Amino acid sequence: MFGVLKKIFGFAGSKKKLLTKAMVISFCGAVFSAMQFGALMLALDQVLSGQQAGMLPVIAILLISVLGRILCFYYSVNEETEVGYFMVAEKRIHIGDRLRYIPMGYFNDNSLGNITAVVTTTLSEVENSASRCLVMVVGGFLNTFALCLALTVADWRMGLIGICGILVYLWATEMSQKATSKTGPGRQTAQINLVEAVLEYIQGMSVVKSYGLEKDNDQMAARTIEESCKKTLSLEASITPWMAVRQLVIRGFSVIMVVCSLVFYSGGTMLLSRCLLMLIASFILYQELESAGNMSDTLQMLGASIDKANSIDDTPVMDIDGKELAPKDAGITFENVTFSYGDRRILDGVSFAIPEKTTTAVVGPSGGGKTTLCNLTARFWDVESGTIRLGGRDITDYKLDSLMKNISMVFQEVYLFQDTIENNIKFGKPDASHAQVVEAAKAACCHEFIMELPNGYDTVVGEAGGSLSGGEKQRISIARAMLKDAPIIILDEATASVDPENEAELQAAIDALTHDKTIIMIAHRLKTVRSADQILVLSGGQIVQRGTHAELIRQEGLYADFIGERKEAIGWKLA
Amino acid sequence: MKKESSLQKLFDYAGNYRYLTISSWILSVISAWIALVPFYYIWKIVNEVLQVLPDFGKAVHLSRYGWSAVGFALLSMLIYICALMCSHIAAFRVQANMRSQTMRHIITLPMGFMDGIGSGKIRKIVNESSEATETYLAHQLPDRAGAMATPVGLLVLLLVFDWRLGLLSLIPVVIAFLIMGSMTGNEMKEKMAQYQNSLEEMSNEAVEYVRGVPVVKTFGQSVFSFKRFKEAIDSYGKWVISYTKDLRLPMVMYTTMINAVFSVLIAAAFLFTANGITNTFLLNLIFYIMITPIITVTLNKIMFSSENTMIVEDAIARIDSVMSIKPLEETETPQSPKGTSITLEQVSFRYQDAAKDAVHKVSLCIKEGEHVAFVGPSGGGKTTLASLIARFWDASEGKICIGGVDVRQIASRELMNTVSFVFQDSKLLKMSILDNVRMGKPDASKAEVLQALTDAGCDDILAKMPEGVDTIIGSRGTYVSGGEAQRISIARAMLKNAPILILDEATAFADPDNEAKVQEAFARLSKGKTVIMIAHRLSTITGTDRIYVLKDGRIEEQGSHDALEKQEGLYAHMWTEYNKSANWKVGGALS
Repeated sequence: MFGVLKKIFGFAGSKKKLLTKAMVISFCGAVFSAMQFGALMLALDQVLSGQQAGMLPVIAILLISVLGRILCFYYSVNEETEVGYFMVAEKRIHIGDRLRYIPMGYFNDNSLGNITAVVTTTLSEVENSASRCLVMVVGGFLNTFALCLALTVADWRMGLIGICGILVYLWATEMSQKATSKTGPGRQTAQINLVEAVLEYIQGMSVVKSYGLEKDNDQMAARTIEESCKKTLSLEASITPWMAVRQLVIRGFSVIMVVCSLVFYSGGTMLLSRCLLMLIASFILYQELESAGNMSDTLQMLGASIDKANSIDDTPVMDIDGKELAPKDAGITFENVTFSYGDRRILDGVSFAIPEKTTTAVVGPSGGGKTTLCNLTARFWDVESGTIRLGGRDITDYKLDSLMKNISMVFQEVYLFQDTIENNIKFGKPDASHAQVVEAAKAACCHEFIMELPNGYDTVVGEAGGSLSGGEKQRISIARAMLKDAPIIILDEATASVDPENEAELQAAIDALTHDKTIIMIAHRLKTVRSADQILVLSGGQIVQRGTHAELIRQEGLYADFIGERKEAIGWKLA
Repeated sequence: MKKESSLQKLFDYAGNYRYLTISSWILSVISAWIALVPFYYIWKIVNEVLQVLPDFGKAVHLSRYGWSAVGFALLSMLIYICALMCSHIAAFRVQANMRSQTMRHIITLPMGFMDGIGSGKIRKIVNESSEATETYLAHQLPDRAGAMATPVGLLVLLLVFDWRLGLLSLIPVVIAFLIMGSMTGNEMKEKMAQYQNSLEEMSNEAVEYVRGVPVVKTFGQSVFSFKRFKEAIDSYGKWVISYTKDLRLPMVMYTTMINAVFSVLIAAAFLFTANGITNTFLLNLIFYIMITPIITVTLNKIMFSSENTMIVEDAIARIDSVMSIKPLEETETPQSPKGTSITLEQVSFRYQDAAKDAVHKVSLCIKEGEHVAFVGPSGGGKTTLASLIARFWDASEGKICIGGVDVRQIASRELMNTVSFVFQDSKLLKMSILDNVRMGKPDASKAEVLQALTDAGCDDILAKMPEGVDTIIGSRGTYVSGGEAQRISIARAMLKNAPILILDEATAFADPDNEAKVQEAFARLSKGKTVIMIAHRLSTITGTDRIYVLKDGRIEEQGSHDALEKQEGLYAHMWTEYNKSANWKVGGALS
């Protein structure tokens, strides 16, 4: 439990002071609340002794207690929300900032989905419950502690017993939490298995159905569900005894207090009024402690959420703070570049040069390293060893933004912002005029379909580009690149023939974009790369052949094989 | 009303375990009431002490009362633990039942359903939504039953011992409730809605920022974009703070009130004892002071429990959204198709919530053994039309017959045995290659499976797998590319050997090596069968018996390649464009 508290404090960052302040205020509140006992003690003394004279101090203490608590609560609510909001806002901004330093290659659907979930859902959970939870738990313990202190004033022996009770309860809570966290991994494995089974079931459904195998598959899934149900149940059962222990501690200490006060009273070492006070206290004392203990489960979940948010800090970052440089020319060289992804070596000592304004086609089997080669050029990742140069300078010398000024990438998958089409295109050059935007759109064969949209260039693109077709989105992204007018174009040639008509326009757009530029392209249609100035055949992370089409076709090797197979593929007819 | 209906639904899933849930409530209520008994014994103890004053030795029942108090406290605890055990068993059972029922339902749904909703979303519904009910059933409901029973028990106790004090201690509680009412009033609701809106806006902005990061970075716009993101967070912050400020006063008042009982009682003590004090009164006062904090605790419990109810309602609504989709109807008098001809008469189909038909009044006739192709622009209806023939959906209008029998009159198993569908993105299940292929014919021998794999040109795939045909797909180091997956699924279709074959040509192949092999395998598989090919590359289908050109859900043209080329219509245009694009070159140097 203390671990989680520490975590929350760590999470608070620069708001630690505010958090401490909130805690101090809530402790003051606890002290005010304990004053009620003082009033009760006074009242009992007087009632039992038959005097009515000292009524005023009792009322005064009660008044102070109530007002003090109102005040403390009033301020602590404020502080809590502020801490909750500000520390989460800080974290959100921190993550947002960090994303700028994470290598581009790290981003994929999965990781982006994960980060999005953290920034929205997970952090909202923390925002809503962190401070409340903290105050409930810490406040609960503090309240009990303050009450014990008040009891100590009345009778130190009883105060001691009370404090012992808190400590034992803390211990029991800690132990039960340990037991819970021990079952955590088991529960998680069961959960993961279940998720996998469900996913498998759903993804394989089309196959299963089309082969009429519903029954078998159903049984398999049912078995997994059954197993996970049993597993969670047995895990839950292993925690139950601890719950009993916690309850036992609370009830036990209440009883001990009752018995002790009676014994002390009968032994003559305690006044009747004190004894009655202790009897009352024995049942009130641990009430808050109990709700604090129950809340500690929520605290545990909170800890998990915080871990999830912090895990984004574990992603790799790279140093993007190079210098603002302009390259001498748009030539690219790879010198002995090696790159691994996890354990898998993707590129192994690759060297080549791309002179300015030439076209280089990269071909080869899938998994050969084509995409990685392109991504390294745009510094989506940093190389493991070797150097990549742009205009004769190591690309890591450039500030990332100034490197990216030189490179446009045309991907098959396109992300458009939920903004107007004009602004989406303008993204390539924020200070472009409307006329320039239209010009770029015309060159990228977008103008026509944009004008057909209800608001033309002011049409807002639906979420993730909803209402546009894949080809149209891609052409808008080309218009964007066109406006950017970078000297180097990295192109992942579309393999998917969207539909012939669309494709012709797409190719016209790419044609316009690539005019007079340095081009690296991942080529899937060998016919289209015949005219490339240089062809790199990449296989197993190495360049196995290089040259022009005319040179390579005459060599025996992968390229000639590919060409042969490709011809076969195209010439093949269904008959 | 709504709460009841969601509980009713949970009960439906629980089956007989619902009684376990109900028992958990009853036990929880009993436990809550028994928990009050120790207070009564404390009262007895104090009572006896006061009775025998000052001769303490006469108080002979003290230890018995003391132990009774302890006994009942323990009993209450034990019963509570029993209640939780019952509720947990029932909760996990409900969860498991929800999952298996949802999944069993999903498999009866039209196959096209998956495309509409997406597997990620379904997984979320099946797993997470059912999980959301766990805390609700296991903890929330029994606790709430206990929390509601406690005030009833208390009320009885309070009024029995001294009704004046009882009423007094209730006053702050009533006021607290009134304040709580004002907190949930209309004005507050509106503020709450505004707060939710601003939260949503901030979330959207965050999603946009994170999703857009790759683009932002490639365009070197990270500073600008980051600024927007930060602004969104700041403006959301303003709402949060102002909302809290508005809520602060009533919250403080509410908390003060439910905590004020203690003070009210002590103050009252002076009022009532102005004319001298009786032992009974003192005793009752102490008793009240002891017992009223329980009200505070229970009230707080009830207040915070409404949050979870909403989550559960949402979860159930989500599961219902799947469960309410109707499965395809299975005929009661199945007929067998005579032959493998395919006829469509005026077939229309519209996707749910779509504005227009995906397939509109299509009629066609494919004779037994013919090879035909569907071509046309994307979104033209090719895949939908093919899916209708395999009855992944039921047509909204018109009739589809295989071998002269309406597909709706054919038993689904028989239909599946008649039609093989090779998907564009072939899904392999996480089992060995052998088992994956064997799905095509569960009783096939290993030799048969190997033969089918060879026929589908998969030998090179097997060769590179660490354990050959026994390699589990998806295990470490076994990467299967899209083209390879499709070849394995062709092997599966070969083993199944259904007389009608629907092939969805994959659009994306990473390398030509695979493509050539896939097409060879296709060719072998098609021999002697009725074949429908959904084609994306026109060069692959020039030799088919007939080509249907689909556009906007209608058949625009039909005929052989040569005939269509001469017509100078859509197909001829596509053919020219296709050839142009196949010859297209980067830089435009040779075009």
